[in-house]
Amino acid sequence: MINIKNLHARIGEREILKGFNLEVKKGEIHAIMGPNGTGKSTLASVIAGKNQYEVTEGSIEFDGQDLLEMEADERARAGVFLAFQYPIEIPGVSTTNFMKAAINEKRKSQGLEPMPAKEFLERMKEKMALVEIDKAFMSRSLNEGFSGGEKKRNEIFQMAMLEPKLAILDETDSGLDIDALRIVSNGVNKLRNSENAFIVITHYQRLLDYIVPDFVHVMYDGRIVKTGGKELALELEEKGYDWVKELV
Amino acid sequence: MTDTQNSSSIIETHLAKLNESNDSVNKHKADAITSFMKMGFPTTRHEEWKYTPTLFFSKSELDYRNSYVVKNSEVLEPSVFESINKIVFINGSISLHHSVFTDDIEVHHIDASASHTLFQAHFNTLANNTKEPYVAFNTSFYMQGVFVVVKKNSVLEQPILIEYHDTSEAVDYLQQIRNLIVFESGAHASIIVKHYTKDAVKSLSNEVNELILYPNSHAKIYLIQDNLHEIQNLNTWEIAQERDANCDVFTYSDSGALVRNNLHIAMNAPGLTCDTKAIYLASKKSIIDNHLKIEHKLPHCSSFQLYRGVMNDEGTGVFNGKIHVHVDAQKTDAYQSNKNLLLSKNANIYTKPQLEIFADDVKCSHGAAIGNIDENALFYLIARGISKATAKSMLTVAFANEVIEKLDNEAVKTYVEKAIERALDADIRY
Ligand SMILES: Nc1ncnc2c1ncn2[C@@H]1O[C@H](COP(=O)(O)OP(=O)(O)OP(=O)(O)O)[C@@H](O)[C@H]1O
Ligand SMILES: [Mg+2]
Repeated sequence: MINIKNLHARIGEREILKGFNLEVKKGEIHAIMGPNGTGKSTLASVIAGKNQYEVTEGSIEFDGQDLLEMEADERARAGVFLAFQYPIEIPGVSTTNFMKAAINEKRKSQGLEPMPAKEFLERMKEKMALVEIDKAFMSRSLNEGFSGGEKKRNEIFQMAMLEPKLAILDETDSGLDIDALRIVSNGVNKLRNSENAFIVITHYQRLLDYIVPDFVHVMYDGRIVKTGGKELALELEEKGYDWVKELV
Repeated sequence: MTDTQNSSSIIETHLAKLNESNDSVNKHKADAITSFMKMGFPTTRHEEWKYTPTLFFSKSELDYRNSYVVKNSEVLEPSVFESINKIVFINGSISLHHSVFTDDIEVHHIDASASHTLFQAHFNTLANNTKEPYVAFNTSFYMQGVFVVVKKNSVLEQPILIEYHDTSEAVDYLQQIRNLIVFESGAHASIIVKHYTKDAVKSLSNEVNELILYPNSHAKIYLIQDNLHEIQNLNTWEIAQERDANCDVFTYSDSGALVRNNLHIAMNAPGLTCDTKAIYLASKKSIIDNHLKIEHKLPHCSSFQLYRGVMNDEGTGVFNGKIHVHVDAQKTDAYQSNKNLLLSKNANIYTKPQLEIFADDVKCSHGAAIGNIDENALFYLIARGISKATAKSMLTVAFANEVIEKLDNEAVKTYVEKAIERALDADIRY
C-alpha cells in the first residue's frame, strides 16, 4: 500500500524527519508511538502533502505511484486520508457541503457527474450512525464550536464518507472520553477490510485495546527506533520512553 | 473631460435657459449647476475620491439629453427576480411597455411629477448638491428617472424591481438617472435594483436616488451590481427615516470598471434602527468604492454596518464608513464591522472607518480587518481531495457567508451565492 524509504523532511532550516522507513501492506494496522515533538505529525503532514515541509531525501510509493510527485488534493483523491490531530474550524462551510464538495470533486476527476442527492444523503445517514454523530452537526459550520471529542468524531465521520485506502489517524484518541473512544474505535473497526490500511498515531496503549495493531513502531528524533507487536505498546506504557532514547 | 472649454460654454447656455424659467425644478437645477461649477469633477486629490479615478467618457456635451428611444419590440434579458411591480429602463430611458405595476404603488416619469404634492415636498431635499460633485452634476443634467410612491399601509409581498438594461452598443455614453421614492406611512416593501448589461457596453451611469420613509414604513433595499462589465456606476442613495420607520440596505457589487456607492442614511427620529450590509468583490481591474454615512440625530437609535470585501487579481476595494452621532443622539448604539480578504498580491484595499461622535452617552463599536486566506483552513479542504482553486472559492464564499446568512430575502440570497461563485470562476459542486 505505502512504502516510505529513507524519508528526510525539514521545515525552514530544521530537519525533522531523519531517515524514516515504513512499509504498510493492505489489510494492516500500524501504530506509531513516541515522545512529543519527535515528528509524528510531521510525518502525517508530509504523507498528506502539506507543502510547508520540504522533502530533501527519500521516497514514498503509494499504490504503485510516486506520492511525492502528487499534489495534496490528488493524494486525497487517490485514497490517502489524514485525520488531523487538531482539526481546523471553518466558519461558513457546513460539514454537509464540505463532504459533497469532496466527493464530487473526486467524481469530477474520474469524469463522473456529481453524486445523486439521494445516494449522498443515504451515505451521510449511514456514516452518521456509524460514529453516532447527530444530524444537527452536519449543517453547522465545520468544527466551529465543536468540543474536542466532537471534532475527532467528525474526522472519523469524514473518513467513513470518503472511504480511503490509507487512513492516518493522528492522535484521534487524545481527549476522548471512554464512550467516544469506543465509538471512534468501532467506526475504524467496521471500516477496516482486507483492501485498506491504517496508520494510528497515539500516546496511549488504551486505544490499541480497541483498535488492535499488527505492528507497533516507536518513533524518536525523526525515525523509527523500534518495531514490535502490540505487546510493545504495553511495555512502553510501563517503562516510558527513556529506554528507547538510548537505542538511538 | 477632454473639451473643457466647450463644456463650460454648454453649461452656461444651459444655466441661462434655466434661469429664465420660473419652474421650481428648474430652480433646483440652476442652483445645482452653480455649485457643480464651483466643485468641478473630483480628481484623486479630493479626499473623498482618493482611490477612485472617475470618468473615461469623452463627450463634450454634458447636456446629453438626446436619450435613447425605446423600442417596444426590444427583447430584454429575463428578470432574475420575480415580481408584479417592475420598472424598466433601457439605456437610461424608461420603458413603460416593459414595466408593470399594481395599485399598491404610483409610478410617474420624473419630468411629469412636478404637480404632485409629495414630489414638491421632497424632490431634491436630500441630495447633497453642495458637497457631492456627481450629485450636483446629476441634479443639473439628469435625463430620466421615476417618482415612485408606495402607498399608505400597503404591504407588498413581492419586491419592486428597478431594472437598468444596458443594451446599447454605444461606447462612452452617459446616463444620468434621478429617482425619488416615497414610502407613505405604514408602507412595507422591498426594492431590488439591478443592471443587466451587455458586455460591449461602456458607459458612465450616474444614478441618484432619494428615498423618504414616512413614519412606520419599512423599506428593504437590495442593490445588485453584478455583470457590469466595463460600466462605471456611480450610485447615490440618500435616505431619510422618520419616526418608527425601518430601513435595511444590502449592496452586492462584483464588477464594473468602477463602482462608487454613496449611501447616506439620516435617522431623523428617536428610537430608529437601520441596517446596512454589503459584499463587494473586486476582480480583474475593477474598483469598488463604498462610501457610507449613517447619521444619528436623536436618542436611542441603533445602526448596524456589516461590510465584507474580497479583492482578487488587480482589483481595488474602498470602504469608507462614517458614523456621525449628533450632540442630541444620546444612547446611540452603532455597530460597524468591515473585513476584507485579499486573494492576490496585486489587489488593494483601503479601509477607513470614521467615527464622529458629539454625544457622550453612546455605544459605538467598530472594527476593520484585512487578511488572506488561512493556509491551514485551505490545507484542510485540499487534504480531503478538493482542488486548491475550489478550496479557495469555498473559503471565499464562506467569508461572504457571514453577510449572506443574514439576508432575509431567499431569492436574493440564492442569487448572490451563485453570483459570487460566478465572479470567482468557481466550480463548487455542492
Ligand atoms: N510549522 C513549524 N515550524 C517550526 N517547527 C515546527 C513546525 N511544525 C512542527 N515543528 C517542530 O517539529 C517537531 C516535530 O513536531 P511534530 O508536531 O511532528 O511532533 P509530534 O511527534 O507530532 O508531537 P506530539 O506528540 O506533541 O503531537 C517539533 O519540535 C515541532 O516544534
Ligand atoms: Mg503530533
